[in-house]
Amino acid sequence: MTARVVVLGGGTGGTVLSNKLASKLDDEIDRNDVEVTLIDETGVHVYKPVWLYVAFGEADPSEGRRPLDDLLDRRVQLRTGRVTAIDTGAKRLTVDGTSELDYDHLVVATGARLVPDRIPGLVEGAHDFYSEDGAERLRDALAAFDGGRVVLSVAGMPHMCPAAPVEFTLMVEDWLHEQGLRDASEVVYTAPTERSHKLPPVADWADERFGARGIESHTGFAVERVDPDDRTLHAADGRTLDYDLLVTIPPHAGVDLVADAGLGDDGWVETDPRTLEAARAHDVYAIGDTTDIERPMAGSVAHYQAGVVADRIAAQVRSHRPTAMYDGKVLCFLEAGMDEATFVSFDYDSLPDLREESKLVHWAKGAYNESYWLTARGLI
Amino acid sequence: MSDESAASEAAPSDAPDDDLAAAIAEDPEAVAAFVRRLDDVNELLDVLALATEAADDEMVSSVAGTAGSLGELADEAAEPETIRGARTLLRALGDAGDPDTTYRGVGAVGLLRALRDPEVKRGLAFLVALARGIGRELDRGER
Repeated sequence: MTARVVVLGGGTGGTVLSNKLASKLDDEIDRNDVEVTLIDETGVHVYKPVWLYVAFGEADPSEGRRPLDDLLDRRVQLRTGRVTAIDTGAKRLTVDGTSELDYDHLVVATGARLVPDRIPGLVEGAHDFYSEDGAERLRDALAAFDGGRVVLSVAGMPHMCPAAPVEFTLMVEDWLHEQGLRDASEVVYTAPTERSHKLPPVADWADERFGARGIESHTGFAVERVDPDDRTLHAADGRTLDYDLLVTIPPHAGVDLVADAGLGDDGWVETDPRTLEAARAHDVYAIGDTTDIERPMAGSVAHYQAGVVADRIAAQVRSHRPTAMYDGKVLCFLEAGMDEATFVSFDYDSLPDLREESKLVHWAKGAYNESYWLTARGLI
Repeated sequence: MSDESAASEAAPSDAPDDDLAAAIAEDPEAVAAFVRRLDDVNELLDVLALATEAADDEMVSSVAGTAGSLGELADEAAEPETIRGARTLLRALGDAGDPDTTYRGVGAVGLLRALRDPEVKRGLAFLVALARGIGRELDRGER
């Protein structure tokens, strides 16, 4: 009997996992003992970190897009469609509301979605670089900017790429220098957390740079509403901030499909932090942003988790006991301006230790972004 | 005698501190220049640390495996006659893949007409030689 492995979502986690499964189980797939199917709504893989550079006119959104068909191993069956229901009891998916697909092993990698409309005025008043359109609009707004108050505000937690708000703030400060606008501008950062970043070592690193570079930082600032007419940002505790250009990290939410399937309460799959098994169903794994695990929503997390789940599923279809465990590994780059970067690396048992930023690490980030497609293919 | 004074008396004269002091005394400029370069060395070490921390066993073996296969392919491709043949094929592929090239369906009549083209005739000679080579390799593989 053929073991049917179905992966939901063609982001970093789903794509890397499918390719790793195809590589590990190549003989089994060739013998029809296993089939691997990836279901994605659009059939296009998007590398979101490119958008940060789109905002500064350093990249084009098309550089972050590739058809999944070009990235997937030929042993993986790609199906384009929207999964509208998961019946974990019957191990059956409904696709596009009509057709059904049975599975033996399911991996949910459906990610997170943006919900900017949860904060009044955010859609009308704020820019973002968390979508292709948003990054392009921000690029145009920055190009037209001739000085004033730039406010970067983290309007919701958790969010994808926890380093991005600090990166954007330091980059825009440097960019204003390059444009000859720094003296005519103020750079302001707000975060809802007690410190400038949830991780104390990153907060220390950021605070030192914010202080040295004259960046105003407001913490514990829970964005309640934006007034686009008055160009004012309002916090729940009554504080207000004026802005000329507002950039926010929009609030994120899980997907309804997960909640409807009973896999997690708020659209995030309740997941074992080490085995990555869903807590509320058998033979279901979750990886990447869609889990409720206390880890950053970062591509590296999805990538490392994909390796673990590929090992576990490969063991299961070979009737071995799966032993691979996720150790909480995270690796993120952190731009300190337009030309220098550092990185953070940590796991469940350690905190990040940040090094001084350097041009070489900035180049390494640029080189990795260019070679990301090798990651998607499961090579690095 | 305290432990501290015992340690100090027992310290050999060629301790690292002494070596460093002697090097500084001998050529302070060179040592200062070396220290200035340590920043660059540290940055290089950061990139090395980044690669070490990002990688895992599977990544290293997958990259090494791919590099090994590419090495074998490169070794095979490095024969002068292979380079000549590959260059011919690659340039022809570039011409065929030109975005201005239109690919109209070719029927039997179109094929016969194309066969009158001297360039197509030369190309066919190449393809026949290629087919002969492939056949030879397949025979070898089966033996």
